[in-house]
Amino acid sequence: MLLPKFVFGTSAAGEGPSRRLGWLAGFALAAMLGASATAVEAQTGQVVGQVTDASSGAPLGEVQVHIPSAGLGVLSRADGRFVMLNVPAGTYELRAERIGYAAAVQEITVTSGQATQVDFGLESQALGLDEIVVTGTAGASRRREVGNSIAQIDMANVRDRPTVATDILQSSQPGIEITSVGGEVGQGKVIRLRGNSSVSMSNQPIIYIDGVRMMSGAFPQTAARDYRAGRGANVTASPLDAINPNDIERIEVIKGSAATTLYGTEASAGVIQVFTKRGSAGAPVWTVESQQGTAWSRKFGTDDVPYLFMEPFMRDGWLGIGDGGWGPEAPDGTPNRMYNDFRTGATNWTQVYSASVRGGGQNLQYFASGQYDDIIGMLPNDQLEKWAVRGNFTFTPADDLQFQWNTGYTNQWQQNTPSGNNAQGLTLNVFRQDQNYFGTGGFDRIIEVLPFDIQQRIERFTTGGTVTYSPLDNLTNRFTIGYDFSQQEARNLRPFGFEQRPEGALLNNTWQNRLLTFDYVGTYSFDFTDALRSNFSWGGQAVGDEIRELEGWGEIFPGAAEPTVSSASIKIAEEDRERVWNAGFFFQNVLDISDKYFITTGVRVDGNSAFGEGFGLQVYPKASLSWVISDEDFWPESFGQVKLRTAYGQSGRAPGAFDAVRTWNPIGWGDVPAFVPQNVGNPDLGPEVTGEFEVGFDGSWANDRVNVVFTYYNQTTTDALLDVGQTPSTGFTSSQLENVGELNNQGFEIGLNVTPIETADYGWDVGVNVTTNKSEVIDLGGASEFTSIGGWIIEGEPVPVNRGFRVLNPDDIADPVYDEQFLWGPELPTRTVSLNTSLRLPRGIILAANGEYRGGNVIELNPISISRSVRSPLCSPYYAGETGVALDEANTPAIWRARCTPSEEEGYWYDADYFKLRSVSATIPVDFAFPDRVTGSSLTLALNNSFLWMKDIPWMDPEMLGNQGANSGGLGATERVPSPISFRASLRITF
Amino acid sequence: MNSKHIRHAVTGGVAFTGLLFMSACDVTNPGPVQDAFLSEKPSHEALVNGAGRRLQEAMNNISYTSALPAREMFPGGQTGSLGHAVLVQGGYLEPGSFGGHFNDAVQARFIAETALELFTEVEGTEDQADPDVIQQAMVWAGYANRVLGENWCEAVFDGGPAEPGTAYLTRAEQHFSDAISNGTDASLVSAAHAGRAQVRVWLGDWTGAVADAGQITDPGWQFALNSVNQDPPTRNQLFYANADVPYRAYTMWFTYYGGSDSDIEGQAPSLPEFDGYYELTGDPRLPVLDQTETVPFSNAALQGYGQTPWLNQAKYTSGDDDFRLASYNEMRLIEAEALLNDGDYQGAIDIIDDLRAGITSENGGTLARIPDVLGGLPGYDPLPAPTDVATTMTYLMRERAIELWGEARRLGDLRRWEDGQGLGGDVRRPPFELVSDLFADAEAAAASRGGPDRLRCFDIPDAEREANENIPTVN
Repeated sequence: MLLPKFVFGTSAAGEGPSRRLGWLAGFALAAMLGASATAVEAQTGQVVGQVTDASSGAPLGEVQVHIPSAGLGVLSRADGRFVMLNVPAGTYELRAERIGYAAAVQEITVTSGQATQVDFGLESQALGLDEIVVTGTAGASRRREVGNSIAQIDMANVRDRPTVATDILQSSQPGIEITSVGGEVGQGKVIRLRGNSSVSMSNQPIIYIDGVRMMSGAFPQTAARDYRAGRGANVTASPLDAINPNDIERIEVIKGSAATTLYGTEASAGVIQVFTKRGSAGAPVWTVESQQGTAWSRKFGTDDVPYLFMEPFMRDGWLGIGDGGWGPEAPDGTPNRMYNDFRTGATNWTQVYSASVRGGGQNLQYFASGQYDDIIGMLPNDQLEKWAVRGNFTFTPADDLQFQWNTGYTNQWQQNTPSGNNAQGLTLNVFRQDQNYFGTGGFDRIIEVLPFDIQQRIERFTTGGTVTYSPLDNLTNRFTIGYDFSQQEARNLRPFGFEQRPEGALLNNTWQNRLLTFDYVGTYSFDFTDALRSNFSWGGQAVGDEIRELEGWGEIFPGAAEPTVSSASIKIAEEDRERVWNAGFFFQNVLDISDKYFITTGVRVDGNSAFGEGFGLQVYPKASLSWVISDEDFWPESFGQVKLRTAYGQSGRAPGAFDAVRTWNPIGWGDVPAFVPQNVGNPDLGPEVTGEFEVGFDGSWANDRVNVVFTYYNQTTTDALLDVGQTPSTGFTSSQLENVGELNNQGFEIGLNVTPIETADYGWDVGVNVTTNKSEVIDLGGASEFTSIGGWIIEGEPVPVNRGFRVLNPDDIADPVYDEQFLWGPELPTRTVSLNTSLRLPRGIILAANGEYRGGNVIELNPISISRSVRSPLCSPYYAGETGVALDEANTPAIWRARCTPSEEEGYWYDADYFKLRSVSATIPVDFAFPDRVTGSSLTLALNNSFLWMKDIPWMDPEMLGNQGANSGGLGATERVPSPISFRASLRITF
Repeated sequence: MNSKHIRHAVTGGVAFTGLLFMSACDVTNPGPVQDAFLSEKPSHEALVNGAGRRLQEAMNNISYTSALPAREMFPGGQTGSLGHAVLVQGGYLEPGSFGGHFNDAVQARFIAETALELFTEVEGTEDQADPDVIQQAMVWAGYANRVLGENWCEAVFDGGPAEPGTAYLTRAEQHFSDAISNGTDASLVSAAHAGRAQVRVWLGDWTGAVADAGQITDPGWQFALNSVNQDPPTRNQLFYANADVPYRAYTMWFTYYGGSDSDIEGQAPSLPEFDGYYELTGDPRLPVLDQTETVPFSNAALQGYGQTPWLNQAKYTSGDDDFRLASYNEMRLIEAEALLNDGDYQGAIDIIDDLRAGITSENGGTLARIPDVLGGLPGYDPLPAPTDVATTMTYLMRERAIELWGEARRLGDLRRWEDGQGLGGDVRRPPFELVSDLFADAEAAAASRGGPDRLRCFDIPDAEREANENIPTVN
């Protein structure tokens, strides 16, 4: 691999990163921190040893080895070895703990100046039945008690060191679908759990972090006011990506209403809960990491035009950005602006530095971290700089009282290139060549869009505290209060002299989201008999969700000086505010019979400020059964461990803040005030309610070397909120949300993990996740068919279904004959298979890969504007001449006439099956390069997004969505570049 | 001890959740307002302005869409932004379509009439409406009904059954009469007279129409809707449909005003050329600019032809240019048409000549009086001097086309003349069919689905048909 160019200097944008560090800086940081950990040697000894898997003898890394009474602890290296320095002489209880393994304890005696050897062989916990899960339960529960499926992603098992948190979820578990949007830097991704449960409201799952509700969905797309649809970069950042992945300990995901009942009205699309790391008793444990990487584009055009003419504009990791092959001067001797003005930043480069420390005493533990990201993206203006800091504190003043306070702050700045379906954007004008808004495909003209300066400053702040008070062994009270603040300041400037808007225009849009969480849970456990226990829980929750948006727009500047909105001759301001409160209470009881049968019943009752005045409260019941059948006497041990489970539950989705109320919109007309009808209102409007039935099992066989998680789910959304058309002649012409629809989603989720090889030196894991989803609109309640979430909503069809022209005579040399109302099939994939494997080699080297297949759906994919007489590279074989769009009709079949004739532009529906190799990585322990006091070090090399197979789609990428980006309702294509192939190297050191 | 803890915990928890529950769900958000607010006097003017705004938006949509079937403009082939479906480009107004146009016009009527009802309710209270505000509501109600009546063949009110489109015009006449008899603002009285003259023409009350038209005596008088470029829904859509900012969805090429000539070497169609009216006369009422040397073509490609030369109208030169609802000149043309109805063709000629005499050519051309040279449209000979009502009607129809171009009037005029108010003559419809079969296809589509009305007026939209049980849906 070639090393990147080091570039020191001012970036293209004034606010951008001013310096680019390289490899050496990361190593230097690590070495410096390592050197600072000086030992104190007086009347102390060492504890050394190795932790292995008891059954296979394989070394275990990331095991927390600690002496609770002395407040000392270390993490084992990848080879299982650990060294605990400066242990005061004495006798102690030494513990070794890691998720997925039973904790082990040994008594040791440390002698001054001596090394005490202690080895652990940890027993794996099949199915993790006694692991504690939190999400979807009232308080904490053992996994064996839970009757619904719950996905848990342990960061220790994520091999490829992702730079953003959303990527942790990618291909991780069945039923979780993460879809990329495009190759712009800072672009978020779409998250779906078990398909669409709503056609009118968001299908994004809600997200909690350490018990505090945080912003879900992506930040809004912002575009200049003159053409809302697209004058911007069309980049939508994800709030989840603002979390430092290294801060995350685990993520729990519950995917449907059978599990989300206790979250009530906002939870029908599922719940994701992120748990960040907490402090632990012991000496400070530092972890530092330096990550360096680059990216380059896969070919996304045709063989003849592999990058759709984008070559001069895209950075790669080696050659930097193109210049049209001209060098500093154009052929006519004039300066080549691409070379001289827009090549700043040289190569595509990602650098991430992070450091964290955890430790503490008996009563107070802490975890603190910081991260810095600096990315130069693939498109010429794309840059990102991000800082994230976190402090988590656990205070236990008494045995029955604990305070936990977690706070994270992220500040992200990004600059993007005008892109997407944007007439003043780069990709659109390049793709359209001489039919673009410059009248030429010459890159020296199209670069006139690059002064379009699009910047976003995103701030995320989450703070929350939980008090747990357990006055009795069987009584626990937990109260959480949290505040989550998100702000995006989008600045979108076409400066004075900008070719397509010479007088200039500036949009400054500040969007804020505030979420306030109050949550109380009380749990009382009591024993009826030795074999019959009950855990009764009660509680309440209130979440306030407020959005404020303030926008300033100015146009016509006095000159080329750096403007503000105030500089403009014409200024317009807009403001929107809305606040919604949801509050509810619940009761739940878990009946535990012999620690094998668990019957859970519960109910949540919700009110919501967006409900209609006449609606009242919504009641969501739940019930589930868990049976650890393998604990039965009749179950032979050789049959492995199996838990059967089934659950039914309901949860909902509220209408929008104004949907229930009859309103008039104060809209103005020039310089006078004006009201126009807005919403006819519906006082009986309530939430749509999704009820889900789930049944499945968790099984483990062959000493935990074969694991299967199987779930069948069937969810029905009743009272679905549909936009029902009003009678326009009555004056209120907008459709009104009404609870009239019924939708269904059902499918299977299978997670299979097999360990064919497990020895001390070698190990091989193979995982397959299979998800199916069959959706159907059961009833429209009298409403007409309509379009939503990327397709049509039609009774008896998938949610949504794609409808469009179908060429009935595709191969005939004739004009196309159409079926204009053909139902092509579902918009979203109906089957997803993700594959992952990891291979452990001697010396603790781990090779890992994961990929994902999706299919069963159709996609309309053509980002070339045929109707505007753009000459499409895909149509090249059928054009009559070297220029123009006239077809050689004698040799052009009907399907290609449909596709390539400007007035037709039909026939771009494809079977959407594709496979992406998401990640290939190698983790190499490099402990040999560091002194003993470094408890672990590893180098990870990761290649992401390196291979794409498409069954039917001839070009592009099925994951390049429309201008709404990560807020898109469906799939599709617009004028973007697809996500690049990326390569990253990460060095992590723990000491 | 135990029971005390339990009691405290449960009591505290329940109290806490109850408190949250009670306090959390009563939220009033700023922004949109509820009905009750409109009754308050400070809201009255804004409510009435809302009717004007919606009427402006309706004019935006109707003027640029109806320009195609009325052949005031030529389609550039654009199907996306500011464009239309292919058959609409050919002039076919598909049954049940253009709900947005309908919604805007209906809301203009609804808001104004709602305001009038509201003002009646608060009469005698402290919120009693000001007379000028009431009169303005009457004027907007009149014009909203006039726009609906001229452009929709059938009328529908408040979810009721379909009625003849003249129901709108009858209602408009009543609103205008109320504005005249109840109003105190002289400019609004003039606007009401002009509006009533327009609808009385439709209703065949020529005497009444002439009487109202006669009330407009100021040669510079006009009544217009405010276009606001900064507010996209209320910016002049017709300007943008044709403008090079950026879509060039329409062109003036091959219209009577623009002609088929262009500066594109070898790119013009192999059709007999005809000169555009503007190039010949320099009539400032409808300038047409040929910028094909720098911007040769419309944005997209027309089915059956390809890219069309882009000629730019300059009646509207920005998104801020207002739409006229009525003018002095139109009143004179109403008087001329009334004279023709009485058989006095010379009187009509005199009025038209007087109008044209007051107009100065912009390019040094001849803004000839009747008879003038109208150019050699294929199949059309230069017009003879008018010698009777029918030949004079040709001039009157042409003069209304020029005077009212881009004001959402031409489609209604064509229908009115076809439906019994025609007096002969030649409407001089540009032969778009010579360019592409698309236009014949559109006519065929109308013949097979929806009937001839689908080439001359908008239909009650699907949304109304689906929600209103009194209106059958379109099969």
